[in-house]
Amino acid sequence: MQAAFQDSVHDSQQCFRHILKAMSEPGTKVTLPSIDVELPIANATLSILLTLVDQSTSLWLDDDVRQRALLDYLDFHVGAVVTRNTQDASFAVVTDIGAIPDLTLFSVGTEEQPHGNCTLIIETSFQGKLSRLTGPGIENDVELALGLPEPLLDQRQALSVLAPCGIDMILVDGNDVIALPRTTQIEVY
Amino acid sequence: MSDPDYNFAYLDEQTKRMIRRSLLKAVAIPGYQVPFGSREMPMPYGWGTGGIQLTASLIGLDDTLKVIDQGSDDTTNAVSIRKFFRRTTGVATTEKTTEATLIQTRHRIPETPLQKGQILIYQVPIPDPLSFLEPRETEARKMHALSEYGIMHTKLYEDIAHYGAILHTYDYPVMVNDRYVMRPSPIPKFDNPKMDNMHALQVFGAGREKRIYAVPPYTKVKSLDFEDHPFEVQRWENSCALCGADNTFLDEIVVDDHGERLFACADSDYCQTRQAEQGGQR
Amino acid sequence: MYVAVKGGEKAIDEAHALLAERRRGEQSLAELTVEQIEQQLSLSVSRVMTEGSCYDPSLAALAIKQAQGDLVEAIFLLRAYRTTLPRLATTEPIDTANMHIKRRISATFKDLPGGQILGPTYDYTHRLLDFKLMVAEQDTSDKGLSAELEILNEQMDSETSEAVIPRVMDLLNQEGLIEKEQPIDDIPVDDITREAIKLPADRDVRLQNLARGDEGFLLALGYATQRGYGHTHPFAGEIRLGDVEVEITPPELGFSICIGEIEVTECEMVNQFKGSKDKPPQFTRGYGLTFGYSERKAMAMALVDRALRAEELGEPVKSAAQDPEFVLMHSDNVEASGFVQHLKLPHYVDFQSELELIRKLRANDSADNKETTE
Repeated sequence: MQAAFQDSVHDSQQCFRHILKAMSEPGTKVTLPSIDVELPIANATLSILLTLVDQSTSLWLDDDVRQRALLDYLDFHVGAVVTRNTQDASFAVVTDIGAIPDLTLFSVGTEEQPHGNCTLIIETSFQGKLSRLTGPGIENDVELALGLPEPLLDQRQALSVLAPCGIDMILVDGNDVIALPRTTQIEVY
Repeated sequence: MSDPDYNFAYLDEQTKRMIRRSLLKAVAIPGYQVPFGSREMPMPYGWGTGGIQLTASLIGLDDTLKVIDQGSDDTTNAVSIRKFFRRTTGVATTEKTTEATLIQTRHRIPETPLQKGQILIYQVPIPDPLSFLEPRETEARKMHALSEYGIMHTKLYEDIAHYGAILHTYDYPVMVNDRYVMRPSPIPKFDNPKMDNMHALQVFGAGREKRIYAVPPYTKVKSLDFEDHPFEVQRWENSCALCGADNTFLDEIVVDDHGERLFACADSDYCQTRQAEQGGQR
Repeated sequence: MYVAVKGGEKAIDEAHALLAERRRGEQSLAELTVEQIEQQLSLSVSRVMTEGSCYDPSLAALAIKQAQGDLVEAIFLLRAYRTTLPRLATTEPIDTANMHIKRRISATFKDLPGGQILGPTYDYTHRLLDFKLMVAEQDTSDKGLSAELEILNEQMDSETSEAVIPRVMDLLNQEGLIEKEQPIDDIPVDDITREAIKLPADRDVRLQNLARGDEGFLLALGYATQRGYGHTHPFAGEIRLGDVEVEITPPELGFSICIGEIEVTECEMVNQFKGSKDKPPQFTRGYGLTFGYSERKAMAMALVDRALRAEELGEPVKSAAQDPEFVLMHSDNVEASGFVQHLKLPHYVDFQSELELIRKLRANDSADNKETTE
């Protein structure tokens, strides 16, 4: 079995603080420390899973990465309950952004319990068209490339009528992470 | 060095993960109270177990921790909590607001404006602003779900009708991001304006009531009021007897049996910093 | 032939023998002395004296020993003893302003005349089991108090026994911000240990009842008021612990003489009050007093005392803690424990009657059903 965090207590604490910063300051890019493993998911995706996921959370993986090596690794280091049903997932990993399921297939929470939604970890590359982000956590606005396809952005926008329900996204590019909580407004130029 | 008999920051890693997940949800839904599996802590409920659990889940070796109660670093409970984290983490502590990365507080927001990257951790006794009007959680949750805050506005307006003013002087309800009415914890309403568009992240922990909520940086926080009765903060006729500040929250200290009073900044670091600066000028 | 169960007397004797054996525990271990309980379980002693309404630490310790540490049972034992005592005199009201202070804190002022005196408190201990206490200290005889602690004790003795520490309430009183409490000398104070409680009850009766009331019950009610079921906006104005003199005025002397000192805990809550038709806005009070060191009880009592004043102050009465009849009739743990546990006594005559009734009703029921289905 390949190794995980060198120091699980302090490495996961560090990762968490980076993720928290990303989530509370949407559009701010944070870089997670790298882990030396050979797996079909990005380094930051792995760090996020090691930091946040355990026996009490259910995890959905896209077909690209639902392979024995990764499943065994997650079973050993994370103890995650892997599900094939998007609706059950508290976390979902999307490595093939072209094949991402419709967002409405994931849980958005309920009016009384809007925190029951799924958090999507989406691998992409922070390139392409610039987006302008506004909302809580952002002073005025911030402009950057997210690398998200337009249909996905449209689906996300369509969910905004359900607020405070919604989907929170953590975008990953290698070791870099940008978070988009449901409250962030995105305009593409 | 931290105490080898306990895990770093006392809590076990699984508990920290649970709290961290809840905290991310709280940040994603500003002002919404996220239920969490609050643990028994080695301090009693009411002493800040919610804040302590948040701090324990946040803190790392690079952090510098400040703990205040009533604005002061030297109040007994602040001393006790600081000592707890020194013992269980070995992390550096400070009294300087500007040096701290994490500030755990009970009942105050520091006078020194907080900066981006700092995290303010509030200890919360009762998280739901509706609980004095509707103590049943099941009912209150429905009202939050529907953003149905009529009873809150009615109550505040009744205060105005009967007494000419809203009678909340502390724990004054706020509207967060135009969506959730939130209790700011029992800070004096003097501190409410500091919450609006604060540069720092604000997180709130209620241990006994098992709720976490948060306000991300640069988020609108509006104290509830009415057009004809705008929100106002307390003002003093006195200035601080120690540093001369005339724009801070003042403690009233009884100095003798005849009821002679002295007024001094509640925020001990702010006051001492000002005194030091004045000493330097002389 | 079946023979009905008899021999209750023998069974009871056997039960008592078993109880004595269980109380004693493992014979090879030293037996607890009453003095040890009095000294080392002093907070239990305080509670038993308070709810037992009898200030006698050694009798309270005896009751705890006899009850195997069951405090409600010990309170019962002390009450049962107390009721046999003659009443020789009535004391003057104790003067807590003249207390020899061991602890005194105020949550409403950062500092005040007399200072904050933390005293012996668990408040800021970290609740980590102290495994050093698993083993008895080897030799305590020559160790005594640490030098540091002795100096502290001496300082406390010299500072506090001479100086009178003013009460926070009196300081607030000077500004007229808090309601005044006038002694009413001409109205006799009721005594709930001699007469049944008459409803509606005045505050003298309510306070007596709360002082004897079960700590857990008052704690839960006081807690409920904090969570919105009868909220009173409380601040702990002052909590003080210490010794006060007890005085009586023998008629033949015409002046009061001190007959001894007792330790008491006093709590004065300051509560917001918005004013009403008859009263201006001001702070109001809730009051708690216990024997010995019983801070939790004194605070809970003060919360409930204030909540029970809702009607007097023109506040809406909506919650259990504001309803004097509900509180006063259910606060006494000797009464409550007796009635709850009496369900263990035989009830078979009544139950037999119920059996008959239910059988009859079911028979009627099924007859009716048959008719309707036919």
